[in-house]
Amino acid sequence: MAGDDGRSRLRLTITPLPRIGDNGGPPMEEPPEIPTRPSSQRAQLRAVVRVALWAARIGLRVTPLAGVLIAAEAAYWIYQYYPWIEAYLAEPAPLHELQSAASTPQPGTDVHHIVEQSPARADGFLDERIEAPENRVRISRLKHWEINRWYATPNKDFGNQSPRNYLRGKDWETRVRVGRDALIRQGLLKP
Amino acid sequence: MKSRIPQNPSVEELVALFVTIALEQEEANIDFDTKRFNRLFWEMDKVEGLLKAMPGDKRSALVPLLQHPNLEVRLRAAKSTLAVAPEAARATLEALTRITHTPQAFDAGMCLSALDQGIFKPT
Repeated sequence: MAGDDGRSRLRLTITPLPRIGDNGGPPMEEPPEIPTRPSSQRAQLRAVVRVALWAARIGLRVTPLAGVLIAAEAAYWIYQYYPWIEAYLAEPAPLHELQSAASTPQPGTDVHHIVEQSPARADGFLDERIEAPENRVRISRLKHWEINRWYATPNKDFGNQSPRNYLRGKDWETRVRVGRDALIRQGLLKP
Repeated sequence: MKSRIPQNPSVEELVALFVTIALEQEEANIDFDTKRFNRLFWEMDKVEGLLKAMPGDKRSALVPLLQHPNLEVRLRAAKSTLAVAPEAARATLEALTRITHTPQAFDAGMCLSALDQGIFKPT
């Protein structure tokens, strides 16, 4: 329900996964507040990310019913982003499933290249290899953006350079190894 | 932008600023604001460098942050204490990887891979 300040407290029907500390552990983190009428698309996305991260942190899997309740209890606008949240919290899948899904558009998902396209092209790898079915997977759009952010930003793990810079000039196999590891560590690909 | 690092900072001031920067990094991540994240990264690098240069390597003052309630603070503290408290820092990274579907689990996992492959050698 919307409060006087025009913000809503998210209420979801959720299925908690059993976790250590469920009995007598610390109380669950409060759900994020979401604006009833966000001022911009950026504000909408920020709220969607906060909902997805909150659900992830407390180990929840949102049921299909939750999508309806998000719309009814919080704000209608977030309903259109429900597939984004659902995709964000999806269980990891085998590689062949992610690859075969690449040809079928799904809301809240993107086609992701295991070996990044532009840097690979810049290093002289051929399009046939970059755009091959083995290199294309369908993943959550929000996780796709997180992986892109990780590739683009400086990182202590790579001597304060970005992973993208680190991989410059490296062979295809090294790029595949890092790209697959990113998918596994993101909880997208079954190890 | 004016530096937030005070003249002749104390250990406590640097640790407090480290926490502030980590929390702002989390916000920058939520906004997918790479430019802001990058600026904060280099600011944190400077703070860590100042702690490292202090007599006795005062990065050890970041070790209590491994228990911080915020996941991003825990992550940044773990990466910054691998050289001074390797076991506790690594245990924190491993614990973060178990909080699945969070950016911190992802970053912590990639850090462990870099450590195990010898790409990242904390000094």
